[in-house]
Amino acid sequence: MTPNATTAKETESSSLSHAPTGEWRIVAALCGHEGVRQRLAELGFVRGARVRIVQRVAGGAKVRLNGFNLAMSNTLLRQVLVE
Amino acid sequence: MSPFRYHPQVPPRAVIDDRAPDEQEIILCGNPNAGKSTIFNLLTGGHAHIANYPGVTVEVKHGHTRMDGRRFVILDTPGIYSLSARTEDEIVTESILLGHHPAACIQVVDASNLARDLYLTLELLELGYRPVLLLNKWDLVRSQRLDPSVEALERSLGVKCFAVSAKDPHSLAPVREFLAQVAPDAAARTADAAVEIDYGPVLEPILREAEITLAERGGQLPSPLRFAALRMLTCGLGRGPHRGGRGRGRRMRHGGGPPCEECGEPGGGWRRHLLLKAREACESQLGQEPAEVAAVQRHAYIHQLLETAGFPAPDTTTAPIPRQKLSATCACIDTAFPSEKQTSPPASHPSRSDRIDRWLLHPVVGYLAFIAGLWLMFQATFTLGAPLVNLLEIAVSWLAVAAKSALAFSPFLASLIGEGIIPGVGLVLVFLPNILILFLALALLEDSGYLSRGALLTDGILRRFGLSGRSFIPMVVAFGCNVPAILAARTMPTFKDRLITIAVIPWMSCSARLPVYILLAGAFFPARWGGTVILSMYLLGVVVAILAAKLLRKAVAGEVGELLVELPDYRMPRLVASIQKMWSHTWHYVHKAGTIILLAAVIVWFLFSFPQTPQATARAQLIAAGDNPTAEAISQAQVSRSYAGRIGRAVEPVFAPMGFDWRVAVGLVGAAVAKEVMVSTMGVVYGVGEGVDAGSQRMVAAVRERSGLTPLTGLALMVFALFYLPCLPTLGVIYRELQSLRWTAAIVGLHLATAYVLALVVVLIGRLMGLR
Repeated sequence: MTPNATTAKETESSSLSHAPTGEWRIVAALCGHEGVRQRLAELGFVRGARVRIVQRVAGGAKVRLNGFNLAMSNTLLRQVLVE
Repeated sequence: MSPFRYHPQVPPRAVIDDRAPDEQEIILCGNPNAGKSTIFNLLTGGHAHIANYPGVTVEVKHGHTRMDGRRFVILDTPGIYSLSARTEDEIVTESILLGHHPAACIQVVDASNLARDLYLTLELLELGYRPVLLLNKWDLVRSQRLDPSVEALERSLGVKCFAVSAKDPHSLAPVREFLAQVAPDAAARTADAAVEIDYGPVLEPILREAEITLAERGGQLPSPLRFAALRMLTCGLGRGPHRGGRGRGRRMRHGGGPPCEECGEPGGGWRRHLLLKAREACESQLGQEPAEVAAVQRHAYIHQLLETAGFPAPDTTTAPIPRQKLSATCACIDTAFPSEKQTSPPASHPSRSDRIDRWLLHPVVGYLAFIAGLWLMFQATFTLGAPLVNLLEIAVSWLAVAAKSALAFSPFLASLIGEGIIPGVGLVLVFLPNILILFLALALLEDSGYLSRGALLTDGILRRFGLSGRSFIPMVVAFGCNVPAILAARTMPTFKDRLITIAVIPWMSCSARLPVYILLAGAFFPARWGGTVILSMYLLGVVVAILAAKLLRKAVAGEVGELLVELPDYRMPRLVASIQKMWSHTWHYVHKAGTIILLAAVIVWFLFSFPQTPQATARAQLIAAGDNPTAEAISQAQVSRSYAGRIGRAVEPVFAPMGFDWRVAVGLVGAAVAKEVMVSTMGVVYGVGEGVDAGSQRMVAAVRERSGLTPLTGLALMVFALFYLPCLPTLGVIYRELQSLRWTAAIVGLHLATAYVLALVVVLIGRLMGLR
């Protein structure tokens, strides 16, 4: 794979639920219900923050962000757009 | 209308009712998992008074202490991440912070997690507080061989900071010294904010406009103007976290009042206008809501602050790494100069917790471990508790007998106390060993950090049935007793989640139903089938609960609250702390439920004892009617004439299709008040006597031969007894938790209907199969 193709793939936005396990991603935006977005933003899901899926389980995942670990359901993971 | 959400049941000023006049108040706050409870215990010696407000599902506790001869009362608030005031935890804390004027405010901060914990600090500063920060878990920070500067943090934040470690009680000595020197009239809180954060070019102009308008029209505000203005712009337009009932929810009302002068919006008022303006500006220019914009700016402020103070940014390392170690450790660190600050990409060393989670969250091993853990917990609860339970049962019946003879001069009193109150108190006490062990196990699991993993594991499955991973704790507790399980459901974030969980919890067979199952199974099924029948009742309850949750979810039409919980690092639970937690929860349960259970017992006693028919009268009436005056017939006649008997006979026709006669109905009436009562009621009704237990041969024989029930209808009775109603204490607690008569009645209706239908189905299927 040429370096350019890899870079192009990396910079496109997709949701955190599609991110490969173990790799760091940067938060781009949040979507979804307003209350949840506020809650996520307050915990640290802001543009530019680094986030990583540590481990997946059925229906959700263990996510690392801002120095701590969170359990999040898949629906929430879909609401976090990363690049 | 205030932009602040006050909790209606927690009066801001009257939370501490045993405060001495010279005692100064200290408010303790912080994130969950920051170690707040441990610090609270260390500062107060562990003696906490729990505030018992009806309808408040959140614990508010306080404790007294002396520091250098000065007296203080420390008020502990619920652990929260921010003051956005959407969940009840946050609203209660905000109510307290706004309503009190303490001498000091302490925030317990997880020093290894500063980037997150300081969010709350910023909000406290904006609120006008000057908190004292306890940088807890400092031993962890030191062990990472980092060298951040507490003084630098103090300078950047402008507040006093102490590095402490809950593992080392001596580290709190400087804190105590500091607090002991607090002036008698000191105030932790002023009318001015201690920090002003720049909220960006989009939000700031509207924020200033809001401040000006609030200053003119807002009236008396409990907080600095800027905080109130920001809160006004960032709060949601929707309802508060509590819904249900008629208008009981706390709604942010923007309506009412004259039309806005600028945009002419009718009845919206100036608040709504400003809020909409802020939303529109932020959405169109930044693609975010005002609340998100504010959060972004605060986090940027925190990161800059930490950088200045020399704290490492999370998930990166700024510590110098010896050159020779570079290649041996992380290949992802791509700089050759150890003194250079590494900021990307961050080191991904799996921590100890990550390594443990590889197994405990593993798709196969994780679930096996979970089930094994649950099984172990139940085994411990029922097996270890059993001898104590037996002991308590004996003690209670001895006490009842002793009371009756001591009070023989007044038959009324003897009956009330010996047959009503003491057995009633006994009901609470007898299950206490089981509950204590269950709560201890749960406290240990929670302190070790495993409980949130459990929520994550079960969330995927439960979600398909309209429940969330957070329901699994209440469901587990329900097998011991439904009452604390309902109380445990308070951890659910949304009202609908709580509603559905609470509606199906009573179908987890609590320990009080076990005697009924044992009795009926023993009477109608061969011994080798007994265990299976009882187990299938348990399973039936769980299965129906889960299916009902799915249907209810569709009926209630809400989305399952998404799972978002912290997964703290695993740690060895400290036995003392867990025991204290267990004690606090148990006492809470006893206190809340005890009064209702006592009331239930007195009601049952009353229903069965009045109107009184003396034995002689009953005997005479039987003889007059031409019936044989056996002991059984006499006691049956007495019951029949009591209120309970009348109710039983009145509802008898309803149960005819299932083959239950009035005597069974009477038992069900008694059990509606308290499940434990069913067996003793049946003992009375079938003339076996009151003090029998479910296993006694006479009781079993009486039920088998004289109840008119068959194996089929006996099974139907077990099914009915399982589903038909939660006992009165559970119902009482349900009403308190939901704060709505409408929903409580709906749950009652649901239970009755389900029980009736299922019992009928059992009988019909049986009859189709040719059984009687």
